Amino acid sequence: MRTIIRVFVTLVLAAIAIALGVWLWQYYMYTPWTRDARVRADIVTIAPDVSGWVMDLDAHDNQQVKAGDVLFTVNHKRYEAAVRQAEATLANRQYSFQLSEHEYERRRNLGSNAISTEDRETARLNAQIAKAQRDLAQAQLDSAKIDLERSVVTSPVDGSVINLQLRQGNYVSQGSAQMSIVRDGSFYITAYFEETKIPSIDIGDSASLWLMGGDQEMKGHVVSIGRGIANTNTTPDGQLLPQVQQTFTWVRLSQRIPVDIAIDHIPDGVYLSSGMTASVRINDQHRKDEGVDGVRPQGMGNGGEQARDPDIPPAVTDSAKRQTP
Amino acid sequence: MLLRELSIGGVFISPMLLFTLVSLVISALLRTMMHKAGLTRWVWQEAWFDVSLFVIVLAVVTYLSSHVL
Repeated sequence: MRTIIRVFVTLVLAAIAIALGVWLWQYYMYTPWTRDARVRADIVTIAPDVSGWVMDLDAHDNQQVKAGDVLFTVNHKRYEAAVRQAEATLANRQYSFQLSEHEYERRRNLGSNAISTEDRETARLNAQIAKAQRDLAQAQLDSAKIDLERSVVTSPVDGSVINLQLRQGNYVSQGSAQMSIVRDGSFYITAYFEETKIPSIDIGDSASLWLMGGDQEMKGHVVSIGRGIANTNTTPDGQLLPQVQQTFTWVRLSQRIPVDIAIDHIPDGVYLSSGMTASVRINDQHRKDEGVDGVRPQGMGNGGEQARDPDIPPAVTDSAKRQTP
Repeated sequence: MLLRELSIGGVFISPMLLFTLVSLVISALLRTMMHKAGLTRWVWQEAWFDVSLFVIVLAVVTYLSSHVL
């Protein structure tokens, strides 16, 4: 009798251990959490629209700027001259136009035995050509004025200047980026989840976020799940044949899919920089309440059912909209 | 505490390591207590029992750390 009880007790305990072991494996392997998440932000690169050397540099590294603040000024002597030249050309064309117009007016009123029809037609067309020339000169003047205006480079957004390498006296070329600005309040998190965990993530799920440096929990919610990552099997070689990878019979590594998470609440004292490492855990509690399958229609949860927080960066909301077909 | 990595001097380790260590200590204590109380005579295969006890404690520790703390 005693032996039976002993065997029974041990076997029951072993059975419980197996069941709990399976749960533990599922929990650890499939709970949607990841340590591979990065803080991201909207970065605006600033490039001058005109070339020239930098006359005044008002921005400094990590400076907080408002939209419209002057960052630097490109030397505008040449652009002033260009405006004066365009003005002179305009005046010139204006007078030519008047001249040919008067000519035409006079010839129009001459009788047909004083002037041939052909000469009159030529005078009319000459007046038209002069008018077009004047309009062209006007457009060139407008363009020169825009160039002059844009020799003063201003910040298009509120934010902080990042990695300012520009120095006063440097020569800058049109369209070459000189500095970048991290837009204020545009921070969001991109978490790279293994594809095995993607099924348990839905748009709108709440998320807990921790930065690598700091124990304070931030709250967020999923705004979009990436729709594509690169596939190395499709890269062509020199003969345009696809470079298909060898088969890995036993070991296949799961890919990771980027999931964008808006930050709803940033506790005091948490300093965010674009590029910081974060840990993310998706709380799928509410989905368990909804039902077993947890299937939700596509595009739901653009934030519609979430209480909107004014702190949610609009850029992230925008990307969520873009993501939905 | 939930599932998240632990930082020890800038080195980041899996939370499972901590759970395992805690569970080892707890199951060792439980084992000692059972010895003292003479409950081991109800155990048939001690090795099976020990492993099962450890797995159960580990699952409980993991569950508590995620859902209670």
